[in-house]
Amino acid sequence: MRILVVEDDKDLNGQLAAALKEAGYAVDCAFDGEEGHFLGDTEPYDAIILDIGLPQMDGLSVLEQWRRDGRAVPVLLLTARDRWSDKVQGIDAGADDYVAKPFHVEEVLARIRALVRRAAGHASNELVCGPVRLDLRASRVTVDGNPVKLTSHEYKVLEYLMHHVDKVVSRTELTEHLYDQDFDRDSNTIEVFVGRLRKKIGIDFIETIRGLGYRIDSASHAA
Amino acid sequence: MRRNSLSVRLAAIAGIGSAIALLVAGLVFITLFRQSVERNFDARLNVLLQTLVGATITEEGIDPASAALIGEPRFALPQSGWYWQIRNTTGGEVLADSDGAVRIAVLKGPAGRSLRGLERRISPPSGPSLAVLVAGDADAMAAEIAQFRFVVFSTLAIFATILAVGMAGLVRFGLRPLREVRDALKLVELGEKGSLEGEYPEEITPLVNDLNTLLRSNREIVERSRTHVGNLAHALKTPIAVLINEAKGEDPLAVKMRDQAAIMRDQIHHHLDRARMAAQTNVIGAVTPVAPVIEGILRVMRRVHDGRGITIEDDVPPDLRFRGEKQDLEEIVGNLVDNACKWAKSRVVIKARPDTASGESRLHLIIDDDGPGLPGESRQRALRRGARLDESKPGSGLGLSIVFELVELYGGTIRLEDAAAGGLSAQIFLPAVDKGDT
Repeated sequence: MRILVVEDDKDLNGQLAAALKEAGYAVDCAFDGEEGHFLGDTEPYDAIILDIGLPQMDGLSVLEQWRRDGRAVPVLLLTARDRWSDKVQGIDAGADDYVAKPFHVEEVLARIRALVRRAAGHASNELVCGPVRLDLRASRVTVDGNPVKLTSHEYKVLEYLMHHVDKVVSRTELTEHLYDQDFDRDSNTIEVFVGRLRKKIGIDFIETIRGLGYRIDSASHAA
Repeated sequence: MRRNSLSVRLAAIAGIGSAIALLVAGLVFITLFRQSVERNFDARLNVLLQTLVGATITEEGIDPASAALIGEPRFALPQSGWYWQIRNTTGGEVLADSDGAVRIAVLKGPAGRSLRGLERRISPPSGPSLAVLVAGDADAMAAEIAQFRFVVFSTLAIFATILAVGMAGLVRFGLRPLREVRDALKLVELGEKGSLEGEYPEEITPLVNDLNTLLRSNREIVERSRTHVGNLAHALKTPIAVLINEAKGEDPLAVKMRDQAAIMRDQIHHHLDRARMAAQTNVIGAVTPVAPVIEGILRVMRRVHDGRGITIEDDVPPDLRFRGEKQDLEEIVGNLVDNACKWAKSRVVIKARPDTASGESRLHLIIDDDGPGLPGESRQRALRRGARLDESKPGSGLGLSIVFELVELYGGTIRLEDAAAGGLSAQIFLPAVDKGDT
């Protein structure tokens, strides 16, 4: 999962990025409206944290611009102006949720988790497919009730695929969503992670669709 | 019309003044007329008396037959009201009299008629001294005067009516600018206009200008403090967020920093809310349509609580209007609906109704949820100023207390009851704008 943080306060931006990275997200940071708008417009994020009071271009304008251009990525607004009219304005501009400053980073993490989950159409914090259960809050995976130890990269691959069950996910898409923009991307490493995952949770769980990518098929794991 | 009204005062002064003037004029006219009529009557009697004396009293004595010659045929008619009489006054009836003295007397004639008579004493050189009386019909004269009185009073009554209509028009026309000011002020009170509009006479233009200046400066002060409060909030909240998140772990310094930052956060919330509130109250002419505010908040709630399986229903008539600031209504409804959505299991219902049970126009808001509800003791605590009940859900520590204070500020009431669905039902009464006010 890849997140964009647009916040002009360097300290707060850094704290958010650090906490998100620690929680297993790939994170890009922008410090003004224009940079944030450009990144959100060109990179495939799974969620965006957007401050309203930004230099150069304010957060609401950035958000409206994205929505006008058809970008449907979930957006969490950070706002110091916590009047209800500001919240209404934010939601009307296209935000999916808001957090009033000052906040605990944990709250932002919880909201982001919920937004990503909601965007993928999941109602609960636990993604289940056949024998595999993935707890988003604890970042834990069990197969038939037995815990499985995964590295953070393996977990990220599995989490992304389980968020998009029944959908063919290309290696490029996985790379784009698992690494931030500064990472030296090599899509071959994805193959390595998928291979290790198959060993740990069962050979058939992740299908390879030749020439297209990977897929978790809910029908074949049902019951 | 109220007693203390300019129209009433003007009408009273003009009305009483004109009534007295007309009455005095009428009485003077009638008196003058009566005097003139009586003088004429007496002059005529005098002529008749002289002629009578000349014709009937001769050297030889009295010749009643000659009375027919004096040119007043009514003396000859019976019961005509016109009589003459010559009496012998010898015998000491009159003690002293200058010859030719004339006496006017009102007499009672035959058949109950009033007569006005003129009497003169004559002492001829030969013969006894005489009293000659000529009397005419006074009733005819009285009738003539009464006729005149009727005409005078009728004319004056018509005149008074015309005067009254004219005065009413004058009062209306003269006071129209004041009525226009009142109407313009009403529009400002209703929030439909920002200032008094229109052209006014030079006497009240300064007043209107001063009022407009006052309204403008009032709005500017409110706007300025709002902007100031917003800027202050923005400036302080980001650094506090940094502090709160920087202080990680169980290091005593970190714990202390976290605690202090949390206190700072709460204090800022508390004081900013109150500063905002203080700036907003007593703004003349704040009127807020209810439906758009609730719709906006529900858009937020539906988006934010999307995926939790909560249905949010609303039933708000489109013409309800709250007598107060939009932000205050947003704060009241927003915090209560937010709480309801946080606690609800599956359903939140928001209703708004007009309420006139107390005699004045009020807005009745009902916010029901099907959550765990609130036990009686906590409800009591919730209704105390500044109490915090909802700390277990994040980000809402000050939500309820600000609601209670705002409702109180507007002279409204709030009740927490059991909802039909099992959860909490918040019932709020706030001042509304009556439909008839526009």
